[in-house]
Amino acid sequence: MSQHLIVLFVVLPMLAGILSLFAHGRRTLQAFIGLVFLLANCGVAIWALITVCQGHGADAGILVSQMGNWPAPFGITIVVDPLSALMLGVESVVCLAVFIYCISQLSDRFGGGFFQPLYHLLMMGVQWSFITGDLFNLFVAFEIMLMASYAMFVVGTTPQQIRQAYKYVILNLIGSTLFVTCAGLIYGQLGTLNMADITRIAVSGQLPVSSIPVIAMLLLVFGGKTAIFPLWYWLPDTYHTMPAAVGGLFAGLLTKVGAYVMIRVFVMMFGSSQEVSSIVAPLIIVSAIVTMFLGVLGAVSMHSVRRILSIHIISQVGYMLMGIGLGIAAVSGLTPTQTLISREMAVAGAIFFILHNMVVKCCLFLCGGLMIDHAGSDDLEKIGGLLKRAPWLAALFMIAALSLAGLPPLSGFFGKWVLVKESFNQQQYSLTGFAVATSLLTLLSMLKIWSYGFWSPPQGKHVEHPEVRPATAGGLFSVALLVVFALSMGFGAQAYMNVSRYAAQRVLDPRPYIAAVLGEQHSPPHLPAENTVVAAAKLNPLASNGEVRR
Amino acid sequence: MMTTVILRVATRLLVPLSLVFAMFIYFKGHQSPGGGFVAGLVAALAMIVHRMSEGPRSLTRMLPFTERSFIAMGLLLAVSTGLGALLAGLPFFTSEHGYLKLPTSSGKPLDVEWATVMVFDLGVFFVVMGVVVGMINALSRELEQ
Repeated sequence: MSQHLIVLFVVLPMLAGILSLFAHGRRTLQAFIGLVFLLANCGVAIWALITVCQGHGADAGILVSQMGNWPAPFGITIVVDPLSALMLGVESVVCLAVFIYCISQLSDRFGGGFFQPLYHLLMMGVQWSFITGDLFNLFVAFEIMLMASYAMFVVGTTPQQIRQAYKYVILNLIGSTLFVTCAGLIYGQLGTLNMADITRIAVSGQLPVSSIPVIAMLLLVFGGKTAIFPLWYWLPDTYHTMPAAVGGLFAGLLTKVGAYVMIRVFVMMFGSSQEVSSIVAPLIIVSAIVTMFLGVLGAVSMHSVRRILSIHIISQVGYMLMGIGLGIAAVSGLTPTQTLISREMAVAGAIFFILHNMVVKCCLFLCGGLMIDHAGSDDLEKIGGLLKRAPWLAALFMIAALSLAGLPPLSGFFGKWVLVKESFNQQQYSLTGFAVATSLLTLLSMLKIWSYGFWSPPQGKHVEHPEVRPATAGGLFSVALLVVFALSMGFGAQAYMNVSRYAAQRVLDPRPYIAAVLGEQHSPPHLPAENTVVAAAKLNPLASNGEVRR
Repeated sequence: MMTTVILRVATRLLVPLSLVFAMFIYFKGHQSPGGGFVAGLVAALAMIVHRMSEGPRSLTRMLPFTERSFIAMGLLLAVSTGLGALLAGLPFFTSEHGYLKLPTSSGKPLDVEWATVMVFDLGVFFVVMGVVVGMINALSRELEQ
């Protein structure tokens, strides 16, 4: 059965890690191994995405494999549904691009021979958290990801990095402890940790009241990973201390994994439970407003490229939260069908936004790295004149920056457009206002980098950065790869949005997911009335071209 | 490094004995307490005792390859157990077991159970041993300098 091949998303990075551990000390060989496995990984991701989108009938576009052939609620399940497949597709390309950047830029000083094995293991953790089908394995995947990130954090070992890494480790340890505690409590309450099984319980309305505070507490866990409003404080000080390559990888992937998990847990698993949503949704929406607005104010006030970009990560997370919040919030003034479509579009917008952000954020971080190579510093007061010295870099940066700000033909626009429109539809006007204002301020801060860094006349002396080689073709190539990907998401937005919408349907109506994991007999007989409309919808994004399906 | 006569004599006895005991725990672990993890710890302890009495150079000579390779090999063994099932068209990590009939002197064959999980466990054994020996080696190298 070909669907067992989805385990390759974990096995390929792991094998790559092992083989490059054997090749310790031979960087070229390690790089070769890495490239081969990353390309293979991209191939598997594309295969999975196509299979999932074509799926209909029995397997319903959801690939399931039970590890060790143990049946579902008892064994370890891995699942690739449209949401996971989309994430994996984009993530695998981002990982490939950053890897090309790493092998062309980083010198031997960075982590010795252990940098590349760690890179693959980090990727393994990320991909595992995208495909895992139960909460405990999600915890394990997070741990793998974090272990690798702890080690990669101190790559290069400047004293500043060590100091920030210390904070990062402590905060994440607290987060992990909380997560495993929550998982234990949920297991005690519900008797299962399998996501499909928990969803089945939630959909059939049998969630015990005592489990609801525990579920709400999960918001704290994932909020910390995603860097949402009250829990973001660790991020701005840490990301800018790392080498650009590592920073780009972390910025592109780690917070997005958190956002993905929030969709999975609060929209898919507990979205149908009024009790949970009524607690979580207002929190998420308030947090979305504060996160996006304060984040962007921070970015406007900063004066170093990497700091601006790091704080922007937070601000962008606000938009993802906005989509998630709108996907589960109680709606007034709309008919059930309209509500359903509005929710679906909001979640689709959030998914699209996560995908866009993975690519663009990572791309901007890599651009920042190349700027440092050219100018010797990333302090906007000290650099300038890069437009003449590196015209290609300037062009690539401009596209990525405008894409982040959300100018019309580029990818950021479409995600924000859908989110803003749905917030307006659902009469969350404060959300609409802040989203638009944030977007303008994002443009402002991006133009600040542009005008100080690229446009203004050169200031100060050109200093060689001691730790990185001058920009290479590989560095520019990886940035260009990401920019092209971002452009495709802008110009092909309809296709991406269709698949995102398909993923959102599958998340909002989890019955095919439950049936695919647990087997048909376990799927709940009927859903609350508002959810059944989706079930009637035609679920094949490749067949229909653009028209709204309802 | 301690070079008392008592320790050196004891080491000669302890090291082979611990290694045999590690193998015992490893084989016992399939159905009862024990297994690759504990066996790896016991084997690592034997290495550490050897290092204490004979010094780091002697330990390096004793190990067939570096600790790093032990870790990589262990991981490779563990993954390949799962991959075998995948090649057979089954879900990853599906295990298989059976009985081996070993001839004995009494004529009645001895049933020995085997399982593919043992290869996985051997991987765990290597990883644990590699990690523990590697860590203690690295830390004591810092101290000795």
